[in-house]
Amino acid sequence: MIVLKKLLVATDFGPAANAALTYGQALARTFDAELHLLHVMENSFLRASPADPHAHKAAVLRTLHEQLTAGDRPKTHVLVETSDNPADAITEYATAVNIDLIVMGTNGRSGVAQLLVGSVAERVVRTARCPVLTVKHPEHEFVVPDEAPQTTAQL
Amino acid sequence: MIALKKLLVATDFSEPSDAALAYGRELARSFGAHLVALHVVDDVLMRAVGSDGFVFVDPELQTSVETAAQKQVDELFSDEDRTLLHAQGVTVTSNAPAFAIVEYAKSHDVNLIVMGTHGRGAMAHLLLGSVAERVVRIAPCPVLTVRHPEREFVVPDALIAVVNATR
Repeated sequence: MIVLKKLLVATDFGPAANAALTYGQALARTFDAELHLLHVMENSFLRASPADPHAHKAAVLRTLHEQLTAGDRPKTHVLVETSDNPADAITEYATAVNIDLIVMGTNGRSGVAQLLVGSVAERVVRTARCPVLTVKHPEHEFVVPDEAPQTTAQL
Repeated sequence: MIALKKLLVATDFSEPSDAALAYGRELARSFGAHLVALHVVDDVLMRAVGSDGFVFVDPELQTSVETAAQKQVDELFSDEDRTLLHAQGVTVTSNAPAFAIVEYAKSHDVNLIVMGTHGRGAMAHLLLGSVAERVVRIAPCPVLTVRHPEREFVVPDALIAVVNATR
């Protein structure tokens, strides 16, 4: 028997993350689970930045709240963490509060870089102790370079 | 609202795959979806040609490997699974398992792929990558990766039962 009582949706506010949130909300409703919505901010306290980091954090929190509907709110936790390593921040939070499932978007913001070094979601898939549901932006579909040569070699 | 009408559990019959099947079954029940278990059979002939030199492989070997795999994948489901979830075991022959899984998902309108991952170390991932990671990257639909919970400690079933009971 599986346990799905605490779900974590990690968002970077990209289209894939929004799709992930839809899945997270549907799963939370179906399994009557708690929904944790997390955004990991870059550690702007350490950087030269024109914006006030505290104000920025408050704005991010507001945006997170706006993503939820009235149906979600009673069992929802919204939070912002600050870290230079989002994947580790996500898995650490998941371990700390005993999350049963992490839901996140892939190819959110990393673009070409993720082909080279792996995306945040891939790192979470590798390192999280709990199951991870990765969701793509619906329109997003592309051929991956490293699978193609192998297939051709077989022909 | 999300559409979950057809779930695909990709299995290599390992412990993480069994954990993935448990999630697939539960999700299929909750969403009233069809459940398919897919096992990718090694293409023995192609494997032999791929290695250096000529290797003679009895063509019957492939057939017997495929028959055995089909039997094993069928045994994953109970009669209840078959009636309730229209559960079905299928095999596909390929030496590129991630590609084969994604192809199947695309051609059969799968809404969600569920797979087990082996909790290997960071180095192994850099060198090899895992099938699940590739599927995550190239799948057209969402992918649920399930890691065998007690993998790292190599625990007997009894301890797993205790851990589950305390949760």
